[in-house]
Amino acid sequence: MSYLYKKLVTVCLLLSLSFSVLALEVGKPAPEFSLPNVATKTASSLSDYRGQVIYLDFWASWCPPCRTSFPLLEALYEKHHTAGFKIVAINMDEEPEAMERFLKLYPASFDILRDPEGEWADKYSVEAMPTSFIIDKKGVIRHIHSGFSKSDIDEIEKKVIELLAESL
Amino acid sequence: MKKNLVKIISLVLVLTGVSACTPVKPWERGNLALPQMALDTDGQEAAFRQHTFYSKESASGGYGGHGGGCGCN
Repeated sequence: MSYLYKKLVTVCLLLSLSFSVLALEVGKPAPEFSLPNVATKTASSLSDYRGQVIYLDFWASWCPPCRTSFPLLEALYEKHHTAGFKIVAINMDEEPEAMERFLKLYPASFDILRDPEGEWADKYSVEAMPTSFIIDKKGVIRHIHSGFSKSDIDEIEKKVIELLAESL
Repeated sequence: MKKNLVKIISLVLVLTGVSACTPVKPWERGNLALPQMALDTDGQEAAFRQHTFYSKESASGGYGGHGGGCGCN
């Protein structure tokens, strides 16, 4: 086997490997996204929410745990939004109609953004649906939550109250 | 030299195919999560059939895991 051939095989093998992206961790700054807001039809970015505690949720209409989470998140938002708590729910549905049908069944007064291409879900290394990130007033990720079951809301509320008490 | 060239071309062709093997991202599983994509349409009936199969054949398992395809169960 010639040297050139060996070299080519190595290069091809290396190129065919998919390199794993470094996952986001607790304590790291949240990537600065900019996505269309469903209600206002304008772009919303992370910096618009700076100084507030953010619950950033990646969800889709076909995901059963998301159906569990929405009424509970809505209640949490109603309870704490006056204290500076924001929920930013990023919808991953390819079809906007699917999202609209879901929102008719599970109304939400918090901000819904659209990322049908999954560009920001990729950058946030979302590995399950739903995945949520609790971001503090300084824009640092403080908690990552994968999946959702009813009992999770207590832990989330505890974390939110804790972060709301922190100073900017 | 000609033999080598054929080898190289075939290798490149094979590896081009390999690059298409990419994992399905969690947010791309909308179609997989549809009810018609489930292997068992009725969970209770499937369990009942499995029970009968077990008593007749004394064999069970090997049916993989459960979940709606969203990677959270």
